[in-house]
This record gives sequence, C-alpha cells and structure tokens, in this order.
Amino acid sequence: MKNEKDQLDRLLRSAAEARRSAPAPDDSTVPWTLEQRVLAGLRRVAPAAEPGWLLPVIRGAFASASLIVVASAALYFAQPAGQQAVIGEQVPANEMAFADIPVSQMLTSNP
Amino acid sequence: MTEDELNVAECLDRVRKGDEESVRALMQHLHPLVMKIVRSHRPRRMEEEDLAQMIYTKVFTRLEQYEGKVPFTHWVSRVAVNTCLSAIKAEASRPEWRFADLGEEEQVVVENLAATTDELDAAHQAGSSELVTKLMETLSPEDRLVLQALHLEGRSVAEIQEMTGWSGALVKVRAFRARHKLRKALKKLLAERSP
Repeated sequence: MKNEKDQLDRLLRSAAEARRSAPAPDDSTVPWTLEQRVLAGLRRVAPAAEPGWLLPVIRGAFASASLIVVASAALYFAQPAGQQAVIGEQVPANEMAFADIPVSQMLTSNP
Repeated sequence: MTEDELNVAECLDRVRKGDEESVRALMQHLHPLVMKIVRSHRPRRMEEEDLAQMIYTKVFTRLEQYEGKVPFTHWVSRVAVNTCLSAIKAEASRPEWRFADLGEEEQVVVENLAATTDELDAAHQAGSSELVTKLMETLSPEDRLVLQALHLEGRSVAEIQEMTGWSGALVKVRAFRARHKLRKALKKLLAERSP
C-alpha cells in the first residue's frame, strides 16, 4: 500500500517538475487576433442589449399593475358578505324575488 | 501590472460605458492570469485562443454581476475556471486508458514506477507529464482541476479557494477523493503491464 502511494506521488512530482522546467510562454501581450475577436463579439452584443430606459418603464408598469390588483381585491373584500361582485357585475337587490319566476319567463322577459 | 497601476475601478467604469481602449487595457492586464488558467484547464480538443475568447467575452458581458466584494482578478479567475470546467464537461470525454494505449515513453514510466522506489529521473519527465494528463482525463473536471492546482502547479488550498470560490473543506475532500481515483487508475495500468 505504501509503495502504491509512493508510485502516485513520484509520478505527480515528476510531472510537476516537467511543468516547472518547461519554458514559460510569453503572455505579456494579448495576440492581435484574440483582441479583435473579443472586441467584435462585444460590438455584436452591445446593440442587442436592451436600452437603459426600458427597464425602469417595465418595472413601473409592473408596480402599477400590482397596485391595481391589490386595490381591487381590497375593494371586493371590503363589501358586505353576499353583496360582493366583481366590477361591472349586476347584483339583484333581492335574489329571492326571482325564485318563483319560471325559467321560460326569465328567458323571454326583456328588462 | 498590479490593480493599482491600472486603476481597475476607473477602467471598469469606462468599459461599462463602452470604451474600447479600456477593454484593451483590461485585457492586457488580465491576459497572464487568463492564459495561465486556460493552459492548465483546457479541454484537449479546444484551442487556447478560443477558450480565452470565451472567457473574455463572459467577463465583459457580465461586468454588471461584479459587485466589488472580492478583488477583480479573483472574480475573473472564477469566471475563467467555470468556463474551463463547462468546456471540459461539454467535451464529455472520459476515456479509460489501457496500458497498451499508452505511448512508448509513458509505458517506460509505468515500468519504472513498478520496478523501483526511486524518484523518476529527468529523462522521464515528458513521459510522466503525458501519463498524468491521460490519467487526469479519467477524472471529473472538478477533480482534475483540484489535483492539477495542488500537485502540478503547487498552489495552496487557500489559493484554490480564491480561484474557484469553493470552501476549504470542499477543496480538501475533492483532493482526497481525486487522489484515490487517480491512484486506482494508475494501479490498473500497473497491473496490466506485461510482467
């Protein structure tokens, strides 16, 4: 087991030594082709980015819509139970008044 | 060039406003760091320049995500490391090397490891480097990265933490498991060699 451990360590040490003794590549300057490729890529990306004014507008619209929904819900639940209706819906004053009218008459009668 | 010499903060402001001269200056400042990571953690079938381009593009298009909590070079290191890991994963190549698949020099190294307990001499360094590269290919990209940084580049656990953003415990656990897997792969080659 000890020898197996040594084998791996010896191999890694030798590989590390090979790496250290290899001449260091010159990375002091960015190759012109690489620089141009990166700049070209950034120019392509830049026009596609959303304009700076769009995000605040979207945020504002979302906030307004949320506010309207919350206000509508508050108004709806603020009404007494049994008289709750969504905006624009007609609620009969007394639903029991219609209980004895036959359905056929309800359909033909035009208020 | 250090961060002070370049004044990274000012340069970043100008880059965000679309100043190409500042992009060039920042690339120049980052190039040694980026290329060091690219050379250490590049998938076999990918060109160095292609990988470097991917890293620079990510850095410059995600500048808004840099919050300034860590030095800029640490943030760039993490972007570079993650890009390299993704590229290695995308290659999806985890070969299983057999003794017969190895080159002549690599086979000699295996024979030497089996025959003696002495250190490998300088003549075998190229073979051992290639053999380690092949054995590393059998590991996951994360395991490969941690062993490469610890044993081949001689980095400390703290340096790997800075480079990857992983915790110290994670680095140590990964290194331990990766060494175990590497030892297993080497043991298999040693067992396959002709007696």
